Amino acid sequence: MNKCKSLYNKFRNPNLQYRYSHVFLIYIFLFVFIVVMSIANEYFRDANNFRNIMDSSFPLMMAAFGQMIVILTGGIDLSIGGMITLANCLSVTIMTQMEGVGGALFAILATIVACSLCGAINGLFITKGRLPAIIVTIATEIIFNGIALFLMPAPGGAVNKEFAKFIGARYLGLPVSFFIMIILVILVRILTNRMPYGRALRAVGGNESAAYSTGISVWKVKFKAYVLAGFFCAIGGIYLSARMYSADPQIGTTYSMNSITASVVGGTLMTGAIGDVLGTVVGVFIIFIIYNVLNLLGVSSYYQYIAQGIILIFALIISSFESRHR
Amino acid sequence: MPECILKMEHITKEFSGIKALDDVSLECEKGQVNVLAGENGAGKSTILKILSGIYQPDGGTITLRGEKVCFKTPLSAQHAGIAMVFQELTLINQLTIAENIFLGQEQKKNGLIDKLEQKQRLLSCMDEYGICMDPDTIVDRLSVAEKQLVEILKILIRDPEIIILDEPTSSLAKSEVKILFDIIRKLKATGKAIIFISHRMEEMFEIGDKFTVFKDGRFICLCDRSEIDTNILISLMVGRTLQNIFPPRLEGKHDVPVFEVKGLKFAHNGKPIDFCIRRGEILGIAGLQGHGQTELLNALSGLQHIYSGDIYINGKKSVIKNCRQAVANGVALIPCDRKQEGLLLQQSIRFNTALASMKDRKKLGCFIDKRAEKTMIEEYRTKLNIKMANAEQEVRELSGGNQQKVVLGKELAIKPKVLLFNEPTRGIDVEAKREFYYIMHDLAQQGVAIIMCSNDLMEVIGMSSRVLVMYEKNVTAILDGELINEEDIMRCAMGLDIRKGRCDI
Amino acid sequence: MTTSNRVSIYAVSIKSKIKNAMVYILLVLMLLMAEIFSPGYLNLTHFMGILRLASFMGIAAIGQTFALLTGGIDLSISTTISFSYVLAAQVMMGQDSSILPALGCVLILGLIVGIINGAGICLLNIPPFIMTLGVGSIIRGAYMVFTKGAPKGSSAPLISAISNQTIFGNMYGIVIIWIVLAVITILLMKKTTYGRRIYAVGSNVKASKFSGINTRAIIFSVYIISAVVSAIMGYLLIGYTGMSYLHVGDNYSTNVIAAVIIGGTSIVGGKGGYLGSAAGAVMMTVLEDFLTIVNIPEAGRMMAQGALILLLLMMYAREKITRAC
Repeated sequence: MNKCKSLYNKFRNPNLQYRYSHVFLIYIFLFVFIVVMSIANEYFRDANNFRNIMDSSFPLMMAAFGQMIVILTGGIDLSIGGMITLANCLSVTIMTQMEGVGGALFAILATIVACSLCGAINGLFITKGRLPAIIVTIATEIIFNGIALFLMPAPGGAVNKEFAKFIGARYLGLPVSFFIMIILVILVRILTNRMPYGRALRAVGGNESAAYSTGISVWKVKFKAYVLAGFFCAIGGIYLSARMYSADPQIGTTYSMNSITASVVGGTLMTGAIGDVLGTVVGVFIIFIIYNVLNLLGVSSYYQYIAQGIILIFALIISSFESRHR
Repeated sequence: MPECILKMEHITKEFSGIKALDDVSLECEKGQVNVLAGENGAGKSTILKILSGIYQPDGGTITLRGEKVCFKTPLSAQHAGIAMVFQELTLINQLTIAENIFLGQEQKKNGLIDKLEQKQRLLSCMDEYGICMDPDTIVDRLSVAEKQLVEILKILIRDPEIIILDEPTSSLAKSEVKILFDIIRKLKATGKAIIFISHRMEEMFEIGDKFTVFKDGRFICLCDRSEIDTNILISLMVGRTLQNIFPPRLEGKHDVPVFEVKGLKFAHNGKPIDFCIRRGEILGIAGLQGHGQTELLNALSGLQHIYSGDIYINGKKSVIKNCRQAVANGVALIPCDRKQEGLLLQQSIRFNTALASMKDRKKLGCFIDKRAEKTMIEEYRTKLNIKMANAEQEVRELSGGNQQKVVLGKELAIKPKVLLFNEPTRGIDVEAKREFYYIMHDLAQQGVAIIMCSNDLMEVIGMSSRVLVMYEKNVTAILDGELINEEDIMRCAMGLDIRKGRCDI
Repeated sequence: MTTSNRVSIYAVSIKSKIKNAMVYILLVLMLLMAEIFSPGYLNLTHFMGILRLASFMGIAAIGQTFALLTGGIDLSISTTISFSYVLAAQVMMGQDSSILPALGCVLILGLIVGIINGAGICLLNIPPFIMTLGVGSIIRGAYMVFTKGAPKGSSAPLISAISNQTIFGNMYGIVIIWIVLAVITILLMKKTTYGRRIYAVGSNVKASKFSGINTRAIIFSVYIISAVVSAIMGYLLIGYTGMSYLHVGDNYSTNVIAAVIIGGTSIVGGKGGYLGSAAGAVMMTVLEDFLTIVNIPEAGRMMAQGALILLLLMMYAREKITRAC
């Protein structure tokens, strides 16, 4: 009883509320949503359905992690979609050329390096070049999409069989994507909440000049954030290659916007400094469960675009109300 | 014999040809509080910024512990044991107290932040100085006073030898000041040297051991506590001769006031303000920086919310809830930061001057009447003597004085009944200042109600028919006649003497 | 002011004068290059064809110029064009009698989009780029649902004639319409009090407020103009192609932004104007055409477009050096 009381008191701590109330609320929302949907629709509560949701949401999860890190510094990255497309096309191109597991490993390595480089380009233009992030990343998205299109003029290519099998496997009934997600969530959480770099991220997002006066190298912090975004896009794109067994130069079009939506739904503030990867995970799930429900209800996939936009704007409205309340 | 740990001698510093510091000295001894006193603009902030490594001196030496030093960056000053708490807060609102304090120098264990260790260190530091706060509180939720304490904690945790406090009490209530002074006494006991800037007489004399007085960028004296009292201090801080650049003082006519304010509250917890301006007079607002003058002017011009009170213009009650209503009612503000708030720097003189009064010159309902504009600009060019190449010149190319004239022209174009000036001659050369004073003089004579708020005491004394003095967001006095002098105004501005001058309404 | 100050100020104004003229210089250079690579490029009939293409981009650039001038951006222009395009086709169904109803529908569409954008940006304080991004996505879904993936209808003969039949010799109707709209836009921006207010809001919102300008109303109206003009563009575009297709507007998203930037309109607002954007639209059309002539594949064109925007940004949009970088 006392343990409950102390837990309750801890819960009412206004400082924790400031940081975690949004995250907490959307977990509850997600839980309720899943429960309601499971009761309402028999296809929804099928275990396979959940596995599909996990698998199909993984690339966006990666995109959203990268986007969240950038948004924490007060920036934005609209080239996420381009980097995912590039990762997809590049990894498949390499695997088509190089046979065997070795080829797959090299493809993974090369893609990670290439996308991190893309992130570095973004970072350089924005920090050292002193250019506005929105338009820089709009431009680089086109460049990355162009490179992807150059590598893969039409959907196709081949993927190493062992690699694809590994990605698509199940252990303990759970897909591999789930395990990778858990590992990455832990790592990202440690990075943003427990490491000096994470503090620096939030400091730069909260008050750049105050962060600078503390001796933090603001440009390095921002630069690293964009590189990390590239890194996560690489992972997302590689995963896509394994799942789709091919590459598609149009694959990434919705990722830029959706990664922002997922972050905002998950409690990340566009103004920076506030955001938690645990929330972003839920943001991604909420988006995909909504898609899933639309699918199961037989609603045409065109409504997904409408849903994407509405979720984003709705999340922004809620975000701005919460800010006023704080 | 207290040990002299820091000596700054013959320091000079120039900014764009203007001497901010002229051969000044500052020293501090271990275990003593040296109060640095002087008006706004005396050079206090400048010398402290030199000491903390933000500026470099143009001349002079700094001796620390007997060795000559030179601080090229703020970090090197910090490493040398000098820590400064600024007036502006440098906290990240979204982080907790502990996170802010250890920002940039986190305690690490295996690459991860050791939160427990940090909290322990912080708590023991807080214990040592009698501060009672939860280290996990998010800074956004703190009051301004508490945030100030966090700023101080930030430097205390690094255990510096020389501590500089730049107006730490400006937003603290009496009880909070007590906590701060207890901390300062503890610091003194452990042998730290403290430099303290404040404008509150009571506090200066409560905590100060030595007094250093600056005036107009020059070093006046370094006295012991025993050698000085409030009167002596004030006379050291002021005492200039009035320059011959001011027009003859105007006397208001005692009929219906042109502008009247009754029971105005612009802050949640302020006292209601009453004052009036008569035809033909200039009301000056004096007071130390940040004591509510800007807020008052903003409230009168519709920028800030008015909590209660009424405004009467020419006897008629006027409602001013936002800027547009203010302009419609004939109230014009010349803001203190002309570059950020008064001008559109990248636009032309024509654009800026015509901006507020465009609707008076419409052709066919929506088009700009270029000819009328040209006439108007020419009118103000001659009236205000604006030196410009042509009307299309970009405003940012003009000198400060001419820029200010453009702002004035813009506001005059709406034919205002009330003109509010916030720091009218800041950053302007003497010749332009003189022109400005005569322009204001003429406008007042023509019946425009003029309120002039300035940090330059001589300006207020030279121009005002009556002076409203503000302290702590309240009006402490309305002085006129022979009460308009430096010492009396300074008294009221520092909360010492509250004497009301003649004010009929 | 010291002499060195004066000299550096003159240097700055020469630099900015060159910047302003840049688009015209580049345009001329580009036309000359095109003539070299493909002789006969500048011959009247062909050039009129180019102008015809550029008209569409030019009309789309009207809205974006307005948005950028206030310091914002409108990322929903491309999808508004697409929706208006299929909507017009569906309502017109190839009949001249349906021209006005189609126009009405399209105008209502633009109005709705503009009001939604304006409401989010001005009333809810949502940053323009993200609001228009979200709304753009909603519009995309909306027209997909509306057409059920299979766009129907076609252009009315009169509307087709505007874009496809020459009058007065070599002139196309659409070019005339563009010129008329351009003149109206330039007059509005440079000669009316409303235009002045737009420049003021883009230069410095605070100072504009101080001067009694209703900044909210100005920004709101700008997004309405942008959406309505984009809708009109989509309506006219169906005349050019005749048949109804999906996603026609996608080509007008970043190209238009590039055209406006190179035309001299500042990213942060307050400087620039439509004349430059118009020239920029012609330039971007010629550029794209040129890239097709020299047989550069789609991928290369995309890389070139992105690189061009980055280059433009480096020349035009660098922010002042503040301590924190």
